[in-house]
Amino acid sequence: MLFNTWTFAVFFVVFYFLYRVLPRRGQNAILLVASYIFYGAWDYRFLALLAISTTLDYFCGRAIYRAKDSRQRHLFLVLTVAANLCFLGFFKYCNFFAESLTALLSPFGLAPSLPMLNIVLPVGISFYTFQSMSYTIDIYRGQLKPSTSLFEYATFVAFFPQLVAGPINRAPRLLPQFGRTRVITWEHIRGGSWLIAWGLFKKMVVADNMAPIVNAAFADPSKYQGLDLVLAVNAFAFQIYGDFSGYSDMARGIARLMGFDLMVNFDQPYFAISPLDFWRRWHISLSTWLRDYLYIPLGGNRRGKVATYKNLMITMLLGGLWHGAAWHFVVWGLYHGIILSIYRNFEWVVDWRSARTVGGRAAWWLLLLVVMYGLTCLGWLIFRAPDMNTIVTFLEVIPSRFTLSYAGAEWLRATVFYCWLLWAVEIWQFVAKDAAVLKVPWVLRLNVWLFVVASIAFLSVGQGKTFIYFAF
Amino acid sequence: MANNPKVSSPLPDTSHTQASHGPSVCVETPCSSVAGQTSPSRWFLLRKWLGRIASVVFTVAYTLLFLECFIRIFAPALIMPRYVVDAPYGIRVNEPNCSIWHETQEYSINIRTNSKGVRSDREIPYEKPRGTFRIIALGDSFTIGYGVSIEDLWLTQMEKELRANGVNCEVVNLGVSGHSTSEELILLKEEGVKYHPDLVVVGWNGLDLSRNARADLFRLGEAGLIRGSPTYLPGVWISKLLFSFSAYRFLAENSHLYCKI
Repeated sequence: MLFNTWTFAVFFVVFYFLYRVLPRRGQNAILLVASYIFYGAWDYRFLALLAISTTLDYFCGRAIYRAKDSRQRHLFLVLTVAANLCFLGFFKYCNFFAESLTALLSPFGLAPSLPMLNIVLPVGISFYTFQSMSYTIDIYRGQLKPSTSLFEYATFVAFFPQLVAGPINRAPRLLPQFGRTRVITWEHIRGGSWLIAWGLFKKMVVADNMAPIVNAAFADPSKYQGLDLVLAVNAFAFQIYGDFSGYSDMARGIARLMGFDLMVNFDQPYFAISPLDFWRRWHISLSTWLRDYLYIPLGGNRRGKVATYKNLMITMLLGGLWHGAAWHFVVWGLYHGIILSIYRNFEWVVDWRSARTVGGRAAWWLLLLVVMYGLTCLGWLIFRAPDMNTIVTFLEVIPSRFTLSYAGAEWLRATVFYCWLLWAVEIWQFVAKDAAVLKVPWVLRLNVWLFVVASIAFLSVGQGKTFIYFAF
Repeated sequence: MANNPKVSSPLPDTSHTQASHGPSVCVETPCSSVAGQTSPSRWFLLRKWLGRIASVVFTVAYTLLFLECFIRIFAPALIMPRYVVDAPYGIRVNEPNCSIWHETQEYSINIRTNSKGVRSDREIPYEKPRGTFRIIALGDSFTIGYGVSIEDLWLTQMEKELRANGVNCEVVNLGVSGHSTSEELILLKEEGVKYHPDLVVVGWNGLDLSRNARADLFRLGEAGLIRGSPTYLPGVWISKLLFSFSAYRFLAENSHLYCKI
């Protein structure tokens, strides 16, 4: 069930009514049932995997906590992590590994005819396996006590606002909320409603309207001029941001209507001035997960420069691979690893505050911003391109035919037409350092609300366009 | 729901500008204890509820106005009202003596009907003038000419071409938006033959098949077509009722919001 469909709206209204009238235990029960219905609506077979993974992690978590010696603790941790990675590896990467292995061996005439299994990727598997792994690893590290109720834990894993595309919540933050009574105030309703509306806007008005531009350009880039392709990459930057942050906002909004608090997943990422800054603003739940469970255990930045770069590269490479079973995601990850390492080596570059005049500071900051945005867009080119040839075509056409065609002018008009409000609100929030929209006088708030709702009603492409990150 | 301002979850943004559109009401009513409970607190309640109703009315009116402006600027609608009435023989025909404007981003055209519901700038009597070759045209909105002025209409062009080539013809446009061949057949029998046509031109449309099925005016009998339902007037009575109000007609002809929905 996609958030941007009427089916979900009906489902949520019915669910919410029941949720509001029931006491806490009833609420948790209905939440679990609703979450399984929500997930099962995709494919009922996925429920089995979710249930198995949940049960395994729950019992392993308790076993780790109660283990008598470190060997036992270690054993159960390895069991649960390996199981989760196996599920992930099998469902997501099996064919990818088989294809890659074949491609690797065939020049040597050793191509085995590996069976290509017809595996359906369970929706959200990358998200919930990572969330479960963080739970068990936190128990192992002594940072968390395991849940005492399988049903409560199952609700935590399957919690439908964030099950399918994150944020990847940490147990210490989210799990206790299931054990508490959720008091829902008028502030929750207002805040939650705004997040849902704004998320829908970003998805249905911005992202879905950028999609045709992006699809046209990436399908056949040689048909277009250089500036057209630059516009298309920018359109994709806003498409993926609108799509993913829109979903995250809706998830947070829906959770807030229920009295839950999910972590923020995006923090104005295109205002980043360095790759490190970018990863503190983009898909925050994933980057912090990778930092805490991969980068730091590998040694982080505590073993000298070379080790740091190696750790960065490994972490980003796996982060890229997490996104999908395709080489261009790996290359994208590698690319971010490289620029992270370069910026780390020349740390003084980002120290814009050290300039002596206000103008100097502003100019330096702006330059860093523009450069980082450009680097991000280059990354998006790698991320979105269906194959290597497309990337090469883009890089050839852009400098050689640096003009705007008629189609490109239309794309420019469409981009400005659909994105201007997003840009305005983002700038406003960046300057105010706050989700400021809810705090303005009612005159302005009424107009903003009406504008957002009217845009969703009349400027959107249609309901039910899938979210990009569902494929991950 | 929540009048209770207990804030228990760690949310960073807590805006407290509780929008109050109505008059701010003060709770202290010292008079209530002096002159009796009923009158002053009743007045206070009345004011509170009037304030709430006023703010609801204001919000609704403002919303409609806002949406009208929004749609005009960002998502202009096609204003193409259709005025049809029921003919005595059970099908839709054009409302006579009408002058309607169709406005879109591409064109702004006027569609005028005469007293017989024919799209024309003049009256066309049933009696055929001597020596005239009469052509009647049956069809749907493509025939009546939605989207074009009468000069650009294909029938007018045809009339001009024929006359330029020496044929003294007169074209009678019996097109009605939404018509299918079953309705056109009935129209021909009831109205078209009165014009003593020398030629009948029919404007086909791919939708005719489904429209005929829905109209159910004719069915297949053993030896051919037989009449089915005596009438086909989808939504005519309600549009007649609504369009009898000039305010509604005004909306249909001018409001982008109305046309979008």
